[in-house]
Amino acid sequence: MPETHQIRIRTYRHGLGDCFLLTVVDASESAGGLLGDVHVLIDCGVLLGTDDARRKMNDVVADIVQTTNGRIDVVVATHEHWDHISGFNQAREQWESSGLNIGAIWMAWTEDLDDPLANRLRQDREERRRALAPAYGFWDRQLAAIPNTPGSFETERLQQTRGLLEFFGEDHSIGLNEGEAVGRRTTADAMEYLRQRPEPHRYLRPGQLLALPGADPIRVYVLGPPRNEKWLKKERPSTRTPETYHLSGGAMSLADSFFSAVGHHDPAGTAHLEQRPSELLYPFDEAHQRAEPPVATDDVTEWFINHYRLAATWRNIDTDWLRSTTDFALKLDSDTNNTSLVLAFEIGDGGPVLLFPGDAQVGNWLSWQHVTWPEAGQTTAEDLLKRTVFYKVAHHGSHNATLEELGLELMDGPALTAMVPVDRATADKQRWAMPFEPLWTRLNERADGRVLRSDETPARDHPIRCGYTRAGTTVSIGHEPAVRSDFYIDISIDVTC
Amino acid sequence: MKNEQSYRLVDGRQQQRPPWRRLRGYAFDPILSTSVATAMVNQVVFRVAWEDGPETGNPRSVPDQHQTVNGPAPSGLLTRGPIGEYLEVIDYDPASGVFYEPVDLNAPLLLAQDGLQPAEGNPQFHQQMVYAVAMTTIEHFERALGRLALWAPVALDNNGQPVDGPVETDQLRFVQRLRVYPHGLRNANAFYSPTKNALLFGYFPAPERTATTTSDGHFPGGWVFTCLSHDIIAHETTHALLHGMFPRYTNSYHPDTLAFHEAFADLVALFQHFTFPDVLRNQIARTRGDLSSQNLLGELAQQFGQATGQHGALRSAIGKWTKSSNGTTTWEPREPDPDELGRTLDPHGRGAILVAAVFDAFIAVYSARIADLVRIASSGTGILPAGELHPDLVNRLAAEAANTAEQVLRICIRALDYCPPVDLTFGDYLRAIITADSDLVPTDDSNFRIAFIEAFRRRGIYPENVRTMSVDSLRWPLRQSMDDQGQIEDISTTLEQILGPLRNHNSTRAQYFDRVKEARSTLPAELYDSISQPIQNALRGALLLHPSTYLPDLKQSPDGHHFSVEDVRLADRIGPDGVTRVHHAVVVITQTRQVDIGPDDNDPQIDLDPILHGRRFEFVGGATLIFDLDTYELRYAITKSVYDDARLQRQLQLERRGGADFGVRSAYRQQPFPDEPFALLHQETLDDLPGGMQLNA
Repeated sequence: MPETHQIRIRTYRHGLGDCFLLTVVDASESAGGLLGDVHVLIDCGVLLGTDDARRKMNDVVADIVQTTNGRIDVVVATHEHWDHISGFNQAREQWESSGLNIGAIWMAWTEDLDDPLANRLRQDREERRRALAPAYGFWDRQLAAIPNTPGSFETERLQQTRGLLEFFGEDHSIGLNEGEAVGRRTTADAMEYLRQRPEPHRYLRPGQLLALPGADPIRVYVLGPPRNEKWLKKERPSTRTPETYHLSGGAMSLADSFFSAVGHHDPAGTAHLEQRPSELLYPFDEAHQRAEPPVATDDVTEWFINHYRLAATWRNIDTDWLRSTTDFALKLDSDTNNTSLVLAFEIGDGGPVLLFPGDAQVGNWLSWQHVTWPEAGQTTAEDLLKRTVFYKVAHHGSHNATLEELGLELMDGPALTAMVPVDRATADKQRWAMPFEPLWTRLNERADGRVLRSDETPARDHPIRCGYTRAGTTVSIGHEPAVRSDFYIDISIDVTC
Repeated sequence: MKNEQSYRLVDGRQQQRPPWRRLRGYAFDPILSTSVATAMVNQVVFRVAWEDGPETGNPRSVPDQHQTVNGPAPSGLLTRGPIGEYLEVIDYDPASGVFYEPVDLNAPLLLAQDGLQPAEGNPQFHQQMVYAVAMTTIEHFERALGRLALWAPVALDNNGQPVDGPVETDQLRFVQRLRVYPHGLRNANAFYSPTKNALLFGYFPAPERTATTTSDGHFPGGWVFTCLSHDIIAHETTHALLHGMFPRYTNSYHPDTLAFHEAFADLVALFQHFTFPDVLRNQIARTRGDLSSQNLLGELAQQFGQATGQHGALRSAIGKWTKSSNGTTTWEPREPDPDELGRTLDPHGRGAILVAAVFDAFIAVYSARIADLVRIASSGTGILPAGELHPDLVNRLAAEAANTAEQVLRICIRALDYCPPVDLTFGDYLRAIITADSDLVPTDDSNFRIAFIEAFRRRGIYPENVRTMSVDSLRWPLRQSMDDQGQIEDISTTLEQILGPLRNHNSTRAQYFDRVKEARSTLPAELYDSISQPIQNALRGALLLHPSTYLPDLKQSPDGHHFSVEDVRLADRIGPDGVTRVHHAVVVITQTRQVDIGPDDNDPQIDLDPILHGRRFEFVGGATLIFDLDTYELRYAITKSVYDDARLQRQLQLERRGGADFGVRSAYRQQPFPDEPFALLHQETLDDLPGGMQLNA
């Protein structure tokens, strides 16, 4: 007797950010079933700076509560970025209300406070984040002090850096370095809130295979984040071997030497950094260093003032070195993306797969090739990708978060459908290419045009309808006409096996 | 560079000037001085064109209009910094908040011992090193082109600040010197900044361990200085020289153009290795004359490469080190792959293909030239016996290598005069090489031209619209058969009048600049009269200067013409046969159309970003016109037509998709920074850096 499973994937359309509600409709419901639907919430956030973000996130959470009748079986938080978890801060009251019942909380192993490697990585990222804020602040003030054309290279880089830091929930537009200063909650607070909730937690590692409680035919494969630091720190393919070392301890690193220099100019902002002996801070002996006095004290200082400070000042380079701040911010951003929890939901043994990779970047994707699931026999990441019928496009469709050969090119199933959670207007404001044009084009080719964007209402005359029958399994996928199409997009997947 | 032969002492006696200033430095970079195998050859003495110090020379007065740009240093003297005719080294280290005392290369103690001894811990030596290498690079450039080098001019407003927005020709100021900051950045980076007309060199701590490198010369916390790398200095200086000639190449819509900037900078650095005799002999002996096997000459930036976590040099024209699964590193030659070009879009990767092609051409000529020597040394078998080569043979091979390398470098530089003003492709460059060399060297006895064509073909580099890959087809078409030679004579006379005095060796670069500027304002009217309809017909629509042919969106300059003259250059060279003379005026013309960016008719699937609707896009075309000043002929017109619809559509397509970003580090951003194209580009190399420094793709 064939069994039919109905799954609905709801994509909220609240802005640039991820919030997905996956519902396994109770098959017996129509016959007065008792078990009810099973709901999995995957991320709940929107980019910092989104207009009216608090109201939007509260509306989203209210809809979740209503749709689930206050019972979410699993809450998944993929990684510590504002656009994925801000809703746990902004709609905290709703999360706290007694009417809400959560079955379990799933996070990546990188969020586990009992895992020494996770703690070390998190501490490393935290130190880097804390070092970045004063560097950004110092740079901002320095640039403000010299005439600079808006839209110039310098200003652009500064703004870009601010956008990156905002992923951590830090608002630099109001001139304050740390969110804590005004009692605002940061991404770390959101993660900590989830950790402290009373429900059972699972910190997932690649290779684990989980049953979805109450929805037997569905098994969840954990693909990432990798346990290997080499992959975690990789954001794009390269043949070179990366090496790792840290801001604290051992010899001085590039980051160390840079942030120490920031501290030299702005001691207050870097008080938390360990003091370093001067040979690690300065490239030359003290005897060679000449400070710049306000007025010339000898012919050497006079030479310097006349040739640098007073002549052709458009050629001065007082702030150019601070542009490195952007590089460190980018690196930190990518490293955080790579800690994304990557889940593949398999419907029935050997059946179609729904892929939720968070914002995994290249290293995370590459590591999947090395994952095995002892409980699932011979299944490989390649199998799962080949069977993917729904792909939540990673990192809002950016250029470095969907792997080509070992990613999208493997997703060759006949019913592939993709969803890009993005808001083009916001991305444009930040000057991010999201979705990245070549990726968008290729996605459309692979999915035969079945690619949706959360910021675009699917055209009525262009409905998504597809399906296939293979080895006794029939899959059909469709875009469900949603009641509140401006608020979410529903995609339904029926699987008969 | 010119050098007056003598000067007068105070007592009236004539005294010979030294031809060179001898300055010690590293042939490569400090890392090779940490190994016994290479330390001996790594220290070299650069022979830099002599510049008078205050003791022997007379300062020239600096016209007022040049003052705001060029600072207070007297013109015509080498003073502390060093600050000379071409360069001003200002050693400010903003990250450390200090500056370093400027070196005085005229100090008797330094004159007596070829400058300061190489030392990583002495900032004054760093200043000497950048000065010596940058001056050497400039000199190679000038010698090959046969004229003085000019830096890109700057447009300043009345307050001495750079003009923001459209620039008028008369706002352009002469930039006497390229500014050099040896310690301007605290990062593993170095770049040429077109907006500041400056080279910024970074320094950074060496990583804790570089276990993957074969010869690890770092210790934890030791500093790596990019301003001590011959290759990095030569590379960045070349960017500046190239930008002085082709300011539009940095803002390009063809992936080859920025890649060419990178490749050309690498080529100059590479071929300068062959000017160090000890290094050359050492490497010839080590490779037993086979320069296509792994050797220092064909590799770039050893220390930087290793300190940024790579297995060897930063880049190589001949091969690469890879680590196999069992942990050993092996070197593999870089075999030609005609499909590689199609797969590679980032400027460094793409440029590396061009570098490899030119190096292949060098190897081909060198191998042919030493074949007889090898036969003599191997009793006619051509197979050298095992063991070390005889030192005499090493010397002879080294001489052939040095001579061939010098010719290849000159061919590469001279070709610049035959390049179009915008959107240079590698194929165009090959045609420029073939044409330039054919003009100056009528009989190609060493088969340089064949070697270039073959090497480019094997790397998949083909020009567009060429019937065959032969010398005849590749040479830019000659434009001799013009009907209107009388008119051409007029313009040639004008050009001769303007440019002729520049052949006077007493004219300064500032005078040269002023003449070019004058030509830029007077020539449009002359060209308008001279490039008459028949000539335009002969150019088959590639260059249309006359009213009947204007498109409505063609931009008009303030003087009423629909084109502008961007540069005028004099090329006056004698070929190696001592007879053939190239006596040309190169006139660079551009035309600009302001095109509305609309949706793509061919690809309506791609929806146009609303912010692009109605925005204007500047589509630039133009021509490099080469006039023969002896025969009064328009010899070549190397055009990128502003009427070329295919080219326009390609650029519009890129613009619609968010701008031409060929892998310049973008941080998900949509458009590159045309004002600082190299600042990010050169960090591309920092992929996989240790220390949490890895950058975004």
